[in-house]
Order: sequence, then structure tokens, then C-alpha cells
Amino acid sequence: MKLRRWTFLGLWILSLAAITNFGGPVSYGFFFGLTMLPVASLFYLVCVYLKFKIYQEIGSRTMVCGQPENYLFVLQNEDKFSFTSVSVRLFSEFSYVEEMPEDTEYELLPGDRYTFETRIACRYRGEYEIGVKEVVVTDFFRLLRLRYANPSTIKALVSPRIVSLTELRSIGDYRTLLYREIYAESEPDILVRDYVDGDPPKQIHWKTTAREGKLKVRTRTGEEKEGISIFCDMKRFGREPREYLPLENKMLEIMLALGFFFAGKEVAFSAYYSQNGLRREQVQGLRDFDAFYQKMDESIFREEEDFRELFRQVVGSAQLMASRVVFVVLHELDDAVMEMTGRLAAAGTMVVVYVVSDSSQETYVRRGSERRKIVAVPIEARVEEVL
Amino acid sequence: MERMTGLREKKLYRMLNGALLSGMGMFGGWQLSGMGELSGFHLAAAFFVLCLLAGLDFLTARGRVLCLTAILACLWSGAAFAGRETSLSFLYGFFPWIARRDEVPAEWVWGYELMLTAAIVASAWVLQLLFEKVSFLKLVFAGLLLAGLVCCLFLHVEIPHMGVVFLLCYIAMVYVEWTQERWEKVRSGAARCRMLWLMPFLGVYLLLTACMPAPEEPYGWPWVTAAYGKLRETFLTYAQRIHWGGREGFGMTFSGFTEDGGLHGDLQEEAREVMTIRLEEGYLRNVYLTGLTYDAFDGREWQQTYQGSSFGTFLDAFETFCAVQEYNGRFEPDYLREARLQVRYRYFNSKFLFAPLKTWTVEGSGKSFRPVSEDGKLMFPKRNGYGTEYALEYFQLNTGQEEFYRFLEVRAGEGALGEDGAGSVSSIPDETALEGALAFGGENRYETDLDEAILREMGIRCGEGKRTFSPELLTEHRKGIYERYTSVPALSDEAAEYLKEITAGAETEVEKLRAIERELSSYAYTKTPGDLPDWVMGEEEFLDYFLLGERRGYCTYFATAFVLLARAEGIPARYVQGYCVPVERKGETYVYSDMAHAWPEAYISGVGWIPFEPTPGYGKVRYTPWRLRQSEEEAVSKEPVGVQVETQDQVGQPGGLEESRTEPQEPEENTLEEISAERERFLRMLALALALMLAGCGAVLLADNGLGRYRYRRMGAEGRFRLEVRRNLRVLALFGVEREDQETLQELRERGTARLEELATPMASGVSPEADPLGGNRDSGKAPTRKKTALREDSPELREVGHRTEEATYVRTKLRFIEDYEEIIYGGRPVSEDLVSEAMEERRFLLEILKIQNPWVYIYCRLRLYLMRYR
Repeated sequence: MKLRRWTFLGLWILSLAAITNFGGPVSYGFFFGLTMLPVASLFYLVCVYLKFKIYQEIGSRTMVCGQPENYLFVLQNEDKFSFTSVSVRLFSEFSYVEEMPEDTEYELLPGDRYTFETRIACRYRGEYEIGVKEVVVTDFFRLLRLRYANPSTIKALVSPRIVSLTELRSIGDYRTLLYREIYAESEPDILVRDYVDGDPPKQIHWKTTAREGKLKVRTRTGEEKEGISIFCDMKRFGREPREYLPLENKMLEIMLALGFFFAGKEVAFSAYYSQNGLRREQVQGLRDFDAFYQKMDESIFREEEDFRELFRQVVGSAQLMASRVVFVVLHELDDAVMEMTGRLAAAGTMVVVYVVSDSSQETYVRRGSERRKIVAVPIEARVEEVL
Repeated sequence: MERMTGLREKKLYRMLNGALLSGMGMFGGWQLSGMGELSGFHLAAAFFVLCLLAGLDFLTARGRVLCLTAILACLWSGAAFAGRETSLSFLYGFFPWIARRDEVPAEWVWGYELMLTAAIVASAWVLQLLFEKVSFLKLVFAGLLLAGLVCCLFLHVEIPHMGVVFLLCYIAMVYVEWTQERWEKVRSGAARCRMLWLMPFLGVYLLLTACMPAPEEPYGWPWVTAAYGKLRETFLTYAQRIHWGGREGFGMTFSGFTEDGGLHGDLQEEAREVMTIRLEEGYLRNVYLTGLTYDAFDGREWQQTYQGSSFGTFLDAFETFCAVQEYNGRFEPDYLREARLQVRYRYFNSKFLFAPLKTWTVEGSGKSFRPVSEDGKLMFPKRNGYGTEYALEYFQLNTGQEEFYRFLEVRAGEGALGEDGAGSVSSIPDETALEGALAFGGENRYETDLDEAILREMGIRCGEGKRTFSPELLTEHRKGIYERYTSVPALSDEAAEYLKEITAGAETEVEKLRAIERELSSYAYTKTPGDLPDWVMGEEEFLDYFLLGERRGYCTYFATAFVLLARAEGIPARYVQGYCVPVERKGETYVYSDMAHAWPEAYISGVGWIPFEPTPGYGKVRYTPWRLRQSEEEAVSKEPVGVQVETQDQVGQPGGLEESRTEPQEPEENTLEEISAERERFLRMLALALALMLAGCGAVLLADNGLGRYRYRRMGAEGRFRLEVRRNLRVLALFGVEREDQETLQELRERGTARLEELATPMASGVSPEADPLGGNRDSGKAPTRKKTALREDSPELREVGHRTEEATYVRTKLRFIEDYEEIIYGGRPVSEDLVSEAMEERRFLLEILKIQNPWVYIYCRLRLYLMRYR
């Protein structure tokens, strides 16, 4: 097409030279004959633009990440002139269509119809357009090309995927987390913990302090005594869907994978996240998981959400000191988070931080320890392989 | 379409193609065949014939026969009704060669045209049928049409506008067809079907192109040049304002027209385009455009002291014209000639309207064009720039002829007679002389008659009431001239003596003026005379400096000296600045700033202002006389004839103006030799272009083949196999076996086998087994030979059946590649090198059959396969 355009331009310039030097029907005929070619092309393209229609249908508009749905679309010429070349471009950023040839041009004579029955799957959780994104029409001289957005797109509501983990690779001896009796046996007679600056002196358990040779304070115990806590940063990063959708999807996927892993083992856990304030979901086992999934699906990432404040609030209240493991899922790791996780680790709580980011986290990973693990999770990585 | 109209797309498309071709033939060929203009009748006839042909095409075989019979019956009935004589006359009219006549009888011209129309349409139809059979020819035909059109462009062959439109539309249609065929896309219909549905858009294209104008003149790009000119003029205007503070033109240090009348020493060259002039009527002569006139000189600079408005310019023109009329009206063109000049300002900005001396009317475009006459110059109310355009009419003076000066002398003498009755004006005009001169303007009988003639002529030419002139105005005009342009300079004794020497022997005013002019012309011309000395503070000092000392300078110096000396002799004179434009040919002449010039003009009483040229080297430019119509003797013996204004009829008598019009500088028409040389040059260029095109095509072909070979080598076995199969299918298509829409490969193979059997059987029965390609290949292919079969079978019928079965089996093996191809495409069968070789072998077999079947097609096929080996 490029060659044709250049040739056309060359001929048109020659025709300009012709009318400049010669008068009469031949020179002007050449000039106007060439000038009218793109005009006729444009007229044709406008006709196609106004008349061409695409029909598309999807099995269900509510989808789950990665689960294909039936998808059908039809290219049809219902008019009285020929569509010499029509091709469609699909939304490919957040969804993909199985068995769909790319960049194929179709010629549609009056009454012609091409039906495509295939399957479509979405990559990320969220609400976005899928299916035919735009239509490309080329004129019969093959001189001009019109690309326009499909006026009737399909919007899908995509829920996050639940990844079933068989093991937790990020924690070496994860099985210890799964046994309640072990958990019970490890309980001291009196619940104590290491002294942390700011603890009231009257909470110090002097006997244990004397026995162990370091300051110990009584731990407050209540009904909520799950040993596993999962934190998720609900802050939105970026303005474009292509920036934040994959990230948020991955973070939720990790959270749900961890939750499903423990719920599947009937191990209770608490999930902390912010939605205009601190939210805490307690899951005792598989029976509570659906409600938890719903909550997670409905949760919204917002720019104003402040994970650090949330985390500081929870860590400061010392309610995590009883947790055996704290999982933190976030996008940006900084010194403040490192400091807070350090405190938890110092208190004997194991902390695993999943940093979902494509940027290098080597500095922080090196600062990790046996009780504070930093795991970098690339945005497009498979959760089951990383976790 | 078939569903909608019951008609096949192919036939409809054929009809549209035929219509386009017919349109081309009708509009393009009609005028070329010398038939004149096309009429609605011809078009209706063409449409009828086209419909008839289409009808024949759409009908079934029986319908066609019936239709043709009906037509023949109509013709026969017509002939029978008209009678033998008329029918024969009709026949002779249409086919003059039958009667060996060259002319068509007038009564049958319409019939002849009708037949021509039918022939054009029928030819178009046949051509279209041919193109359908051999589609390649259509491309060649379109290419030839395009080449022909280009040739017509260069050879200036006239083709009617609609002919060109139809031709271009046909070429566009062929181009679209070709594009669609080569386009790789998923398609369902046949090519012609596709094209049919695009015809409405091609129709729109035809309509759009047909609606566009096709003037005979090349396009001048007025808006582009105007925009460019405006831009350039704006830039130059600003540059000028920055450099010269908004004054007119450039300073005198540059050669160029200037409002500044000073003498500023050396000139610097500066040539920029200021205006264009076009001499539309009159003799081809150099043009002096007056811009500004001055009346007072202070020794270093000229000034225009008079500021009032008057119609001096126009009055002066009519005064001279009427003086000539009175003097020798019969031979008026010997003295002056009416001319018309078109002036257009370009990169120039001025408030002066430049016009030659003796301009009597100025016309410009636009309501704002209202020039005013101020003494000897014409001016705009405000500055005008690029694009200012006006036309003016003036009288060219035959100043180069002695006869003209004789006329001046006679007229000046008569004026003097009228003044004091003694013979001439006093050399030193005093109050008495001035009064006498003024009285001469109003009271003398001779002048009174002249005034009447002037007023009458102005009334005729300018329209009564358009301008109000009166004898009083004329008197006022003359009085003003004597008041403003006769201030006698004080001369030093040396200068007075020198003037006396110069004018010694000159008795009349004209002689004195010519003597002064002659003397000054002998000085040296230089653009670098140096600055005027500080002691030059007045006219006297300037004359002393220039006449007695320096004696060199440029136009300004000479014009100044002339004016001062003329005034010293008592003759009214003025200093003029403007442009001296050498006009060498018809058409537009560009005026450049370095054509700016200064010259003197002297007032000859009873005639008007007459220009002189004292600047050395400019004499030949100023004095370019035209041939006198009157004989020398007649001119010598010519006496004043008093008041004898001849009528217009007398002026236009035989042997008058028209005969005397000589155009020595007019460009000659191109001779036949020049034209043929030009055509030869064009043909040489055409041949060169063709050779280059051929060489280019060859180079492209070579490159394409080289690239194809490279790709072929890098291709896998599957790719090579696919390519070979495609080539085989192309060969098969030449047997008329082309894959149709919705046809499977298996069906194609069956059809191909049937076709090849059909072809091979008669060949095999008519030739020996050795010569028969089938037989030869059969041996190599280990297929049973006919000879062996004949030995086994006794019955001829059985032999025939057996033979056919063998043929079918054999041919089927030779079309094995189709089956292989199908398996590879749909069955995922791996491709080996053997398959590629087999496919090539099978093509050789097909080609052998083709060679026997049709040698020409075989040659074409071999050529195509060779040229497009890797496609």
C-alpha cells in the first residue's frame, strides 16, 4: 500500500506539471482523474463505515480470569455493494481469543457472511472491554485505509482467579503452620513476648524475664487467636488500566491463593486490607472462604488508600504479636515497611513479604532473614511457581 | 444480483465493460474520425445497440436466433419498402468502396453515422469478449490506452473531454480489477462478480471526473504566485521601511526609482523586479514610464514645488494628438501611434502610477482605483504594492524621425507667429514674452481652433461629462507650464559662452534643444562621478561644475544639465524620473529597479511636452523610429494645412495605417522545420524513455528472479512443493481447467483428468507411439502401452474400452500432484523432495500436451513460466 501511495503521489505531481505546462482535456483529465481517485476512495470508505456492522456474542459477561467463555462474532454484508477488504482487530491487552487468525482481510460481497465461533478468556480481574476492538477497512484502489473503533463493544466483569497451591515454597517449613496441636504445644504457660519499646512496665512478666534473662511482657490474648495474618496493599498505582490491572490482579491472586491454601487445610487466618479504613476478614476454614472471595472480588483499589498507616496501626496495637506468620502483599517495599516487619520478626513472628513488581528488589531481598523473608513476584509470573 | 434481477453477474459486468469501451470509442473516436459533434441521437443509438447486444447475450440460444432473425426481417422489409434504387443508394452511401466512390451522399450522412455508432459499440462488445478469454490482453490494452493518452498530451492531439474521462475510467476499472485479483484476502465470489458490486463507485468516479473543467490554457497557479508575491512584497516592504524609513524606493546611492530628486554621487547596482508591462497594442518600442516630474533645482537636489492637482497629463496628450491632426492628419501615424499598455506591480511599493508620456486614459481594477493627475505625473491616493494592475492608453511618438522634428519646428514657429508675429520666442523670456505666450494660449485664432479640437477629441474619447474640460482650463494649464518651468538659471559667463557655442547656428527652439542634447550626449557616462563638491550650492555652480569641469556622470546629471540649459534658452523644461524599459518582444516584459532613469522634457508650444535624451548611450534606446508612410518628397513639400482634422474614414484609407504597420521586433512564427525538429526531438525522447522503461523492466525482472531463486533455495520441501503445484495449476488452467468457486481439489482433479483424456485421445490415435508424448511418457512411467493392449485384446470395442481406461488411469497419475497437495494441506502429510520432483515431472508432461495442442499457448506458457519462475 505504501508503494501505491508513493506511486500515486508521484503521478499526481506529474499531473500537476502537466496542467502547468499543457492545457486541454488530456492534461486536466489526468490531473482530475488522479485527484478524484482518493475522493472516490474516501466516499467508498465512508459508505462502508456507515453500513458495515459486526455482531458479537459472549457466553457470559461475568467471567473469571483465565477461564475461557464461548465467543461468537459475525461479519456480514447486508448492503448492495461490496466490502473489498475488512479486517478486525481484537482487544488483546487484557483478553485473548483462541484460534483467531490475525491480520486476515475479508472480502464481503452483498449477502456474504463470515461467522467465527471461538472462545475468549480474560487475563486480569476488573471490568473492561473485550472482543472486537476496531475495524480496518481498505478501499478498492488499495490506496486508503480507515481504522475505526468498534461502536458496540462488549464489557466483561472479570473476577480474580483462585490458584490452588499444593505447597508454600516461600516458607521452608510451612507444614508447621498447619498443625493446631503443634501450635498449642508451643504456647508457653503464660503468654509472654519480648519487650518492645513503649510496652507498659506493669505488663512485664518478671519471673519469665528472670528465667530467660531478657525482658518479657505478658501477651494479651483474646478470642481471635489465629496464627496467620495476611495483609494486602490496596493502593492503586498508575492511571492507565494497562498499568494497574495486571498488578492488582496479581496481588489479589496471591492473597486468594494464600487464603485458599490455608482455608483448604482448615487453618484459620485473618486478612487485613483497607477500604476507606481498616478491614479485617476472619476465615476459619473452607466454609468461610466463599464469603472472603466475594469480599476480595468486590474490593476496590484506590489511590488514597494508605497501606503503611494501616500496617503501622495494626503492628502498633501489638495484636500481631500472637501471629506465627504474617504475609504482606504489596507493590512498593520501603524502609518503613522493613522497619515494621523487623519489629514483628524481632517479636518472634515470621514475616513473609511478597513484593509484586517487575523492578528489582535485590536490596531488600538481601536484607531478609530466616524470620523475615522478602519474595519478589514479577507481575506476569505464575503464582503457583513463586509462592 | 442474480437473486435480485435474475441476471448473471458475469454478463452484467460484460455489459458495463462494453458500455465503458463504447463510451470511449464514441467520445474519443468520434471527433478523431472527423464526424464533428456527438448528438443525443448518436448516444441514444449507441445505447440501443448496446442493449440489443446485451439482450442477445442474456437470451438463450433460441432467443438469440429469433432476435437476429427479427432484425434481419426488419432490414429486409425496410429494403423492400424503400425500393431497389434507394436501397442501393443506401448501400453505396455506407460502403462507398462498393461503388468506388469516395463521398457519402448527403442524404445518408445520418445513416452513415448510425452505422458507425453501431460498429463502435459492436467492436467494443467483441473486444470485451476477447478480454474475457485472455485477461492479459485487457491489461495490455489499458496500458496502451494510457501510453496513447500520454502521447496525445505531448503531441497536442485534441481529444474531447468526455473521451478522456471514459478512457481514464476504463483504465481505473482495469487497475481495480487487477488489484482485486492480486489481493491476498479471504474471498467468496468470482472476480467479475466482485467488480460488478464496485461499479457504482467507479460510476461516481466517472461522474466526478466528468464534472471537472478542462480549460485550454495551462494552469497559471494565480493564487500561489499571488500568495508568494504578497509574502515577498510584505517582506521587502518591511525591509525597505527598516532601511529607508518609509521613503519611496531606494536612495540615490542605489540605481532605482526614487522620490528623492537629489544628486548623490556614485551609484550602486541593485536589480530587483519591480513590475511587468505588456504592450498590447502599438509598435514594439522601448517604453519610458514617467513616475515623477520636478520643477525646481537648488544646485544639489530637484524639488517639486507645485502641489496642486490638474489634468496636465491628459491635456498634454490631447494637445499633441490634435497638433498632429492639424499638421498632417492624413499621415498621423507617421508622427504618433495609439498604443495600449498593461502594467502590473510586483515586488514594489509606490504611490506613483507609472505611465508613458502622452497617456490619455488609465483603467484599473477595483473601486479603490482612483488615480489623480498632479501636473505631469499620475498618483494613487495611497501607496500600492504587489498585484496593482492597470491598463493605459497613450500615444507613441515617432521621435526618431526627422519628419517629427520638422513638425515640431513648424508648430513651434506657428506658435511664435501667433505670439509676436516676428518668427520666434525671444531667447530670454521677459514679462512681455510670458504674457505673449499666455495670450497665445487663449486669444490666437489658431490656438482657439486647437483648443476646440482638443475639447472635442477629449469629449469623444473620454466621454462627454465624464471629465469637465473648458478652454479656461487649457489656458490655465499652459499658463502653469510657463510659470513653473521657465525659471531662468543664472549662468556664469563661461557657461553662457559655452551655451552660445553649443547653440550657434540653431535658430529655432527645437534646433537649440537638439544641439544641447547632442552636446551633452558627447560627454562621458559613468556611475561613479563622485560626490558633488561642497561649493556646488546652486544652479550656476552645478552647470559650471558639470559643463566646464567634470563632464561626466549618469542620467540625473545629464537631465539636470539639459533642463537648466533649455530654460536658459527660454524654453520650458522639466526633469523627469521613471523607468526606461527596453521592450524586445511581445508579451510580458519585466521591469527591474536598475532600469530607473531620468530624462528631460521640453515644452514645445502648440505641441506639448516632448522628451529628449541627453544621457550618453541612451539615444538608441529612446529614438527607435518607425517607417514613414508618406514619401520623403511629400514630407519635404508638406506645408501646414491649417485646421484640417481628418475624419476617421480618411485615416483608415487603403495604404494607410494597416499597411504601414511594421513589426520588426515581433517574434516570428515557428517554421515547419522547427516544428518537425521538435517532433523529432520528442520522438527521440520517447524512444529513449521506452528503452529506459524496457531496461528498467528487465532489471526488475532480473532482480525479482534473483530474489525468487534465493527464496526458493531457502524454502523447505513443503514450500517448494506448494510453489510447483501452483505452477502446475496455472498450466492446467491453460487447458481450460481452472478451479472454480466452491470446487474441491478432488473435483478439480476429476475435471482435469476428463479434459486431458479428451485432448489426449485424438492425439494418441493420430500419431505414432514414439511421437506421442503420452506414449513416450507412458514408457518411462511404466504404464501399459497401447501396443501391448492390442496384442492381448481381439475385439476392437474391447480394445477401445481398455485403451480409454488406461488413458484415464495414466492421466490420473499425472495429476497426482493435486491429490498430494490436498493431503498436505488438509492431512498434514510430510513433504519429501521426491514429491517436488514428481510435481515438476508432471508439469513437463502437461507442457508436452500443450505443445501439441496449441503451440502458441505453449510458447506463451513457457515464457510466462520462465519469467515468473519463482512466483
